Amino acid sequence: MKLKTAILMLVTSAAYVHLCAENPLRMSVGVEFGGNEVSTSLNEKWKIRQDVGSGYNGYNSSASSVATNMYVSHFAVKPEIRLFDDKLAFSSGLRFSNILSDVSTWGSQMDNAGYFYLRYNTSEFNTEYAKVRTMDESTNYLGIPIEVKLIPFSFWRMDFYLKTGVEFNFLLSSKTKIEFVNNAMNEFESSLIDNVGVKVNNLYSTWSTALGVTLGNKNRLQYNIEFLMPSFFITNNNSTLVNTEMFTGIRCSIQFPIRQTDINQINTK
Amino acid sequence: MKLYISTFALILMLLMSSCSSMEDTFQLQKSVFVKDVENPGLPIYSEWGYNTFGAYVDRQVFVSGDTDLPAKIIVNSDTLNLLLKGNMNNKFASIKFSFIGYPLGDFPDLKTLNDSIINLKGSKCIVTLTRDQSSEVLTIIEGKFHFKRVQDLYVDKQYTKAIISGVFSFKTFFDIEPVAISNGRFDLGIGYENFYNY
Repeated sequence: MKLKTAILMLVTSAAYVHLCAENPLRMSVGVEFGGNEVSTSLNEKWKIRQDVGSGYNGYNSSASSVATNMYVSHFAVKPEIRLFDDKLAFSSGLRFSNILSDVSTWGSQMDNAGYFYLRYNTSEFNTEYAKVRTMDESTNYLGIPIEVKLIPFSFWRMDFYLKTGVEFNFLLSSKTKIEFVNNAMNEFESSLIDNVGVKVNNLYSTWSTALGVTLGNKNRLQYNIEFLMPSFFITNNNSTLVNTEMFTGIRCSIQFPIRQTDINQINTK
Repeated sequence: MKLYISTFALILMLLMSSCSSMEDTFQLQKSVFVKDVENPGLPIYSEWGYNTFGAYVDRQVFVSGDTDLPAKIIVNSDTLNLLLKGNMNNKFASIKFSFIGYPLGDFPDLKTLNDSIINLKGSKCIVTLTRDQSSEVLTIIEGKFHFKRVQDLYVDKQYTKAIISGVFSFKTFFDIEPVAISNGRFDLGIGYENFYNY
């Protein structure tokens, strides 16, 4: 079994070296930025009076009277290797991601009065609510994306591609803030968050697929624009406020070519 | 002139503050109807002041709506009347439980009822049903009314209401036919707007 695996690896390596000799590697470094809109629902651990059930009976009110949002923006630097006459590309690097999520009221001001009731403490004889305008959270992650790009056809100076990839990120920082209606409640903010007892996941990972196009001359600066197809979170609790479902978004990047002569110079050194 | 302006400003401030407190009360009067999947048609049993109640009347449901205030407590002398207003068979109906021997002064006093069970068949309880614009005092075959939990409701650390929650069930007669009122549950916020003592 081990011999078979070794032979298979040897054959694959030989084929790879042969193909590379025929089609030399092209390398570039991409600087990427983009944003993802995430579809979300309220994390049930936050007991919001208007949103606890299937029906909220007020006049002209809807079943769910708080709105949840999540937006991921990111910045990445990613070296890319193109193989097989630029038909296939691998890229990896470093990506910084900022996740913003919030919970606020929606609908008419008459219905919601611009705030919601958050139940934060219950004991045998007391139930305590706080009037809250918004809750928001900002979380930063740093991680490594690993992506594969298939470029089936090119037209003039445009390469059309399909890209898929995963990313593994580690938590840098996270801050949850509550805007109370009554300023006197500000002093209880941290104890209230502690009472709810939810924490952001230290890991953040996604699997995404995108369709994109590269513009520009292959030996000069190239510009990429890509649209994320519905993509998914691999990890949970990347926001304490909301549950994540799927996301879509847009990414733009500039690709700086590394010339073959530069690679040769590095190799000889 | 300054006196007029300051008086006007004072009146405006008072009006604004009273509007604000009315708005608070109004928001908490709304009902949060969370469906009980195990008992279709009824709200779940909860203890958070969701302003709902429900019970089965044989196979029909008697349940709170979203237009009428679902509950009022009226204390006359030593009798506490708990009025539940809702819909039975899609028509308005109400049931009034009159508990004798509970001379409560105001809604904070409701805490004395915490975890108390009242025998509905006893002589110190009268149950009145109103439907089709007629009222009748029900003859109770058997039944219990349990105030499982009575709590204080605080909003922004200020005492606002009392929350009464519990369960009830009883057997009675509608005309001459015996019927069972079962799986009764209530979760009600009681405050200035629905507590009366006269």
